[in-house]
Amino acid sequence: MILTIVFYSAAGLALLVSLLKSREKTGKVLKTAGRNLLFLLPELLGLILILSLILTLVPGEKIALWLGHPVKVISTFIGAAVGTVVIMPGFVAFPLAKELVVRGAHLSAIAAFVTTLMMVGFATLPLESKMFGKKFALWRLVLSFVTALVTALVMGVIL
Amino acid sequence: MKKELKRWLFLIIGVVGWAALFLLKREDAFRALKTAAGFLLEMAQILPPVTLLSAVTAVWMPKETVIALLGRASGIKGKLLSLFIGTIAAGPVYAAFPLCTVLLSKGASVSNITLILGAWAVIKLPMVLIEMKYLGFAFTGIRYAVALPLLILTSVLMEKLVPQPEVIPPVPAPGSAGQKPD
Repeated sequence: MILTIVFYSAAGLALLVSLLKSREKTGKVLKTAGRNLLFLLPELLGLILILSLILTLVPGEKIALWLGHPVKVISTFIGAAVGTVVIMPGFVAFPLAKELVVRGAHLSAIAAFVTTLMMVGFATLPLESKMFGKKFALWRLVLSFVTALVTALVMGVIL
Repeated sequence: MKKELKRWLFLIIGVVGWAALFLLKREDAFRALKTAAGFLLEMAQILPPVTLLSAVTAVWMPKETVIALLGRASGIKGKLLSLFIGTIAAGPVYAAFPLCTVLLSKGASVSNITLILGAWAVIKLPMVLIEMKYLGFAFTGIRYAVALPLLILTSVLMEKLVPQPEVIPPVPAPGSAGQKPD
């Protein structure tokens, strides 16, 4: 909440300074920002619609079952895989993670799940490829997946 | 035309899916509505100001400054700045995309951009508290301590794996420096 205010104030302040310095360039700023927003919006709105559908329809018990696989390493892999396919905001992810732990998921699987959830996603892969190039997006996906797995396995040893 | 259609594909699928859910399972549809509202709120909190700040950066920030701060020769300072940008940010990682394409087009290094994206996703300050609340102090602390060095390692690897010229897409992202001034 505080950060939201900070961000909006910072953006407003930057715009004000820009306006004081040059009207013409500020017009360019607004045009660029508007075009960027319109560029992102259809895909993001679609993503939100589809994700909220999936989150509603896939029952939590099922995910808990996968993440509580008797072999910890397997459940960790599954956690990372599920987290990579979906992308979820933290306010949904953490309560869900807690619920999954209560239902018997391994902590390392949960760690893999939440780390990949927020870091990468097949869901945003098309958008990321479009903006940064396919090679960048794919390598980032692979490396983030590995990062999440290693983090999770280390945590599995410690916790 | 095909590209244009692809841009709208998610939205079309989403709308069709939602229509079906509303017709078939009204209660589930209301639950989905609540989730969607949460997503939208999250997006509204961060996407507009960050997009505006990216546009200000695109128009005003000189290339030399970006190269000095975040370019290939920026060293540890560049890494720290990238971590800082990613950490203070809130919201989903895709909100960082416009800012990162602007910075890339102005000479920021691939590794620093990767670090911004990674930190943006993993070490978000507002999220730390929520994570601790739900999953505990030890879980959260250890996850960050283990993930941080790996993020830095990833960013260094990315620089080797994906050479700079291959990163910026052939058609410059809107608002990047490659575009004709209008």
